[in-house]
Amino acid sequence: MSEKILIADLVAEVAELTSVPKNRCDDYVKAFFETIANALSVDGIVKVKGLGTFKLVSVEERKSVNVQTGAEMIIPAHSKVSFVPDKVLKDEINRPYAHLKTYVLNANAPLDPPEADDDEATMDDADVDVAETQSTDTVAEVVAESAESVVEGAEQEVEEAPAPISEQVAEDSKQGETPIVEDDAKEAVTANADVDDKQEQSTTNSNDNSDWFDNWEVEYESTDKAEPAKSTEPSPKPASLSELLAKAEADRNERVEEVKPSATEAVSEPETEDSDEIVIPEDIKTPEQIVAEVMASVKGADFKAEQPVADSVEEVKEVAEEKVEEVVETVTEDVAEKADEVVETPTEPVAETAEQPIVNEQPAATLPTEEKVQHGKVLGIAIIAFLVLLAALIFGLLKVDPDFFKSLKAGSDNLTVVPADTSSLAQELSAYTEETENETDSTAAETDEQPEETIEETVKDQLSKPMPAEAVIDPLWDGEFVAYMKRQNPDVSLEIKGFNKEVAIKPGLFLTMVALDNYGDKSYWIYLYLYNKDRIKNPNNVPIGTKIRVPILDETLVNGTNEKNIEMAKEIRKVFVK
Amino acid sequence: MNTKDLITTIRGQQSLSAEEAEQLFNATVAAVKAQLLKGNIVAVQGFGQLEPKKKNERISVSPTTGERMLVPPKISVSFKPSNVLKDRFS
Repeated sequence: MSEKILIADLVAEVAELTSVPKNRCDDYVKAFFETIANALSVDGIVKVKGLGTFKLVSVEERKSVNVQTGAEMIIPAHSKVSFVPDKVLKDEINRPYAHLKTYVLNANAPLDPPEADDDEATMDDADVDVAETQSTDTVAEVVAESAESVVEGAEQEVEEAPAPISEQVAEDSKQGETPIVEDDAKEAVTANADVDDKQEQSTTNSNDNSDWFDNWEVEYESTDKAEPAKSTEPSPKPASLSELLAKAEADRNERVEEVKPSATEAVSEPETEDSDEIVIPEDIKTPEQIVAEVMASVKGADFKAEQPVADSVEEVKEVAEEKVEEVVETVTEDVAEKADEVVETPTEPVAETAEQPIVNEQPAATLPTEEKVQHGKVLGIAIIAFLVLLAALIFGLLKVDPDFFKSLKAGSDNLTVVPADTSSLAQELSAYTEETENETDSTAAETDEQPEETIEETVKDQLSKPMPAEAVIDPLWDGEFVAYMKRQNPDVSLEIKGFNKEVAIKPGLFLTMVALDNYGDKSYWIYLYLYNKDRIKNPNNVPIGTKIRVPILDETLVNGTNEKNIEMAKEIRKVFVK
Repeated sequence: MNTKDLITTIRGQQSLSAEEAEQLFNATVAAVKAQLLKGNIVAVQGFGQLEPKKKNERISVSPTTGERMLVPPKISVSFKPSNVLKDRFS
């Protein structure tokens, strides 16, 4: 690059091209430039086809200052040679940048385009951005990890039935993270309602079992688990359930009515106690104390709830089963109403409530088995306890109505399905307390046995439906974009067929160029932006160093230089980038 | 002076055939062009040098509408006359 080519080199090349003797070529080339110079002085302009135009331009006289002496001087009028390259030459030499076009900037756009000159400033921006994306990523990762561990645990401990459920729970918690909350809220809650459906059925088995204490413990834990699983919409479902139960009560005989209130009292008491106790010690007691409190509340709940729950469940469950479908409907309606509220709640609380049950269950499950907390575990439990505190606070902030706790009775009846989670939780806990691992596993194993068989079939039926629909749309797509495409271009698939690579933005490399390289036209850059919206704040100024995911897109969305696709991309750009 | 004149002028000086003159002319232009495309500077003694230069992208404002436009970077050829040539015209 940038070698200096002298006449000798030119001559050699000309000789090669024409097979004319070198000395004659030498003469010719020299004469060529000499003639141009002469013609300039005669005509003032020389047009050389394929090269450009040499032209004499007259310069008026002007004043100047001698830099060394400071004396003013006048530069006399003279002519200078200008050169305008031929269009052919210009186009050919500009080929590397030929695809770039001038475009009008947004009036509000920042004044610093990603120029090479601005390296330092933009690099700073990039650092900040990276930090930010990392922090958000970590939240997502935590949730994803916990969800994954739930799934893993479920698969290991319970082979068939509960596994899909916990997967759904995992999905639900993931969906809480995605910007598609509004759309998915319905699906998520219907999924939960499905879970409830199965859970109610499973109670038949669990209540038949004489070992109800373990059952109840699991039930209690699983209610906690189920709450955050509905993290997108905690309150409406239980409310409607309680309504349903109220109906069931009216329908049923007096005995149920007698039993029922006691049951609600019994259950609601420990529940509220639990949450209160956790909220109050904000100055953080020792972890042992908190754990002890949780234990106490759990035990208290056990003793109080013992009889009524067992009885009332048998009475109520039949009616409840009949009306489960109604519940699902009411739930979805409620969710639709409150979807907006849910969207507003920040992702963090959602994530934390999703974590909460995992944490909450650990002390309950492990501590009864092991009374003395050893110092090694204290640290881990301290973290757990703190998370419990946080979760309880956030839980309170979510404005859970009092009905919710009453209806927990119904919830505790129904939620036996989730014991698969306890096993996974036990696994997670093992990181902190290896010693208690075996014991918790054994308790988990016990609880697993009951729900498995009954749920199996229904679970398979119901899970097969929502899975494919959700798998198509990648959560990384911008939520609004997904909604827009559903409205405007329903036949266009947003499927991601894999990943080419990650491209790091560097000086001179823009989204448009990445799009041109990978999709065949620069207009498709908008998809890169919408797919990487978590990493790109301002598409007009992508900081240097930003890593862009380049997915392989469906042909209906991106299809080389197909005008229709390019038009669509431009339309989308108008909608999503002002 | 245009290309045709240039060819005939040189042909008269060098006593070349018309065919040869055109061939040489095309070869010369092609050689210069090829070097410029490679990014090389073509320096001709007593005449000047042709150099491909990258112009950075810039924001320009349309004087009529006031719109700000991002003009993409481009590569252009610049000509810098040698002192000999300069002196001939000043």
